[in-house]
Amino acid sequence: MKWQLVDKPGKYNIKVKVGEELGVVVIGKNGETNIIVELMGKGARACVLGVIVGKRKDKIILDTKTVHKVANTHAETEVYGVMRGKAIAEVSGIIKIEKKAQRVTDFLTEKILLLSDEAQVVVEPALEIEADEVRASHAATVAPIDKKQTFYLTSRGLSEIEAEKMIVRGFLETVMKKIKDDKIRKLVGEEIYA
Amino acid sequence: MKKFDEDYKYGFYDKVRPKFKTKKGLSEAVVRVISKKKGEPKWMLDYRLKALKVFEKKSMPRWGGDLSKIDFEKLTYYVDPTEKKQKSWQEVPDKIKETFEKIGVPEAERKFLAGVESQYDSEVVYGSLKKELKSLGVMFMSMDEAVKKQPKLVKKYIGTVIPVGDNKFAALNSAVWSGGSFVYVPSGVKIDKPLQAYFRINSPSFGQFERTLIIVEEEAEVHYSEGCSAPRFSDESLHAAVVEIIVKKKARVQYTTVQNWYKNIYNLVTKRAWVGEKGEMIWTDANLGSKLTMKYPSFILAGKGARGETLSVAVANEAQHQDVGSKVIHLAEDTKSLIVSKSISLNGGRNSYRGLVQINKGAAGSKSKVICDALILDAKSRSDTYPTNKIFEKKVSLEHEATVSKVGEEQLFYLMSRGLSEQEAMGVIVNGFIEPVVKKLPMEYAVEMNRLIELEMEGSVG
Repeated sequence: MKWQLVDKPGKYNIKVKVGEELGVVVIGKNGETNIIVELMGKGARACVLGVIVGKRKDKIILDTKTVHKVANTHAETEVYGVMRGKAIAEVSGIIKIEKKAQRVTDFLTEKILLLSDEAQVVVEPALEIEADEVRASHAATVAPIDKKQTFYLTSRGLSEIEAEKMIVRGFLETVMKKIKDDKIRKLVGEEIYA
Repeated sequence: MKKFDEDYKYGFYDKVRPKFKTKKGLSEAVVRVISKKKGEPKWMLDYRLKALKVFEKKSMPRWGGDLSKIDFEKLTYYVDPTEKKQKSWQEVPDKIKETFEKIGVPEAERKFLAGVESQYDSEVVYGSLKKELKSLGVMFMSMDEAVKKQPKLVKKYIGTVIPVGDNKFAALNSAVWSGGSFVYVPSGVKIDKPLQAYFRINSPSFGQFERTLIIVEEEAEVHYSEGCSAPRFSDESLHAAVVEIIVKKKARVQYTTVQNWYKNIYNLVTKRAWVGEKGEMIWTDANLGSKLTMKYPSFILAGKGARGETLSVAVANEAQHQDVGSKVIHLAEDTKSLIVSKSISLNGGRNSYRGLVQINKGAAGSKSKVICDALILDAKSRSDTYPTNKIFEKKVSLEHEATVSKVGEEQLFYLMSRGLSEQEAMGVIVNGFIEPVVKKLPMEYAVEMNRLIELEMEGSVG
């Protein structure tokens, strides 16, 4: 499996060919990032992992699109975001399965953790399905830190700040551990845990 | 794959000669004629004229379904039915009773119903208020009647939840509305039987523009339901209703729709409820017919602890597009919303879920959950999901999930191994799929719903 890192805003059109397996890691930054992944050939597989850490007055726009052009393709997209300060995040994603693209699976997940009272979030996970032999789904959640988790950790002697840090890390780790390229994972880690 | 039976199952229509209808096309003169015919007070005429100006300025929505075939100049905006208002069931003309027979409302059930308001073209032909309701101070009448009898209430609330300029079709409705229901439930009154209104469209190329206003005072409860089944005719027809509901403190309203328009109808409806403190609004919505439906029952959760729920089922058959969903705006603390949407696409039909969840700053403690499940029964059909979630408050919880799939081979195999035909098995699975929504419908609607689904499924397998 090949991995590729997108860490600057801009438009990216990525094509996945017959039998190819591709991982795309995206760090959503201040500005607009558009990712289009097209599954062009039979057996093509794509895994899109997005991480957003919004702070201060950031305005982060991240749009992901997986397009299944042919049958027997698979994709999954996961975007995890943490919002601090007065940051704004607009996370949109779409799974598009064209008519000929039968026997396709695709899943889209967008999860945002709210750490500030002033952050704003828009999440738009969409589906456009024109074939019937498919399994496609999306899920989105937006919520602050679960108080029960903080309580548990503070009762074990951690300060509120340490507890929050740990929970955020655990949250982002869900995506991080899916990055199978050590070099990219290290780079992303340096970026988001800074 | 067999082609869907082209002969529409409810494709009948009665020949009723209207007393009066306006010329085709829309103009200030037409609006004036409508208002004059109805003998309306000046404020209502002014309201209509203002709305007409807004309508002319507003552009067509650029999203949703294909609206390019709608020609506003070819529609008739007002038709007056021949029949005068009926006082009791016995006095209802046989012709109309026949129509009810075909829709399948059994006599016994009709009597049981709290008060049947059947809309025949643009006016309420039959509307009998049960004495019981009257003694409770409940008002249930046609909107036309309410303009004359309850001008203060109508004036106070009309356009407050859905302003004239909300969208092009709401403006159109405000200009040319006719018929629809007016319901007023005083404080503390709980009506246990659903109030029902049956809708019919009966003239070719005739747009129907009902206006419904429901006001439920503090701690009162009502369940209003409407069912439609339109007869067949060849021209394109437009249905653009507006439904406004005001749910006051601790009140509860359920609004049920079973929509089965004939397959050439554009059904573009604006429905919205304002919900006060600890109030509860439930939309149960089933969309089967029409060429294109664009309908997003909404609620504005304005009071602390207000709750909103939308449960909907949409079936898109050949050449149909159901662009439906639900919108919710959380304005106050501890408000909760739940949206469950189920859709079935078959024979080339298209379903689109389009929804909005907006949690404003200050709506701390709010929770929203949206679940969209779609079934695609064949390779010609299509299913889309377009949700928008806007979160401007930290202490909230938002969940959205959607799935699209086909009927599982294993499920079909299991049922067929138990002796069911493929079609029966498919019917069982589809009915099971929509069960969570159907069980929330009033009994007679649930029965009708299952029957309609079975009809739609005919010829879809094999």
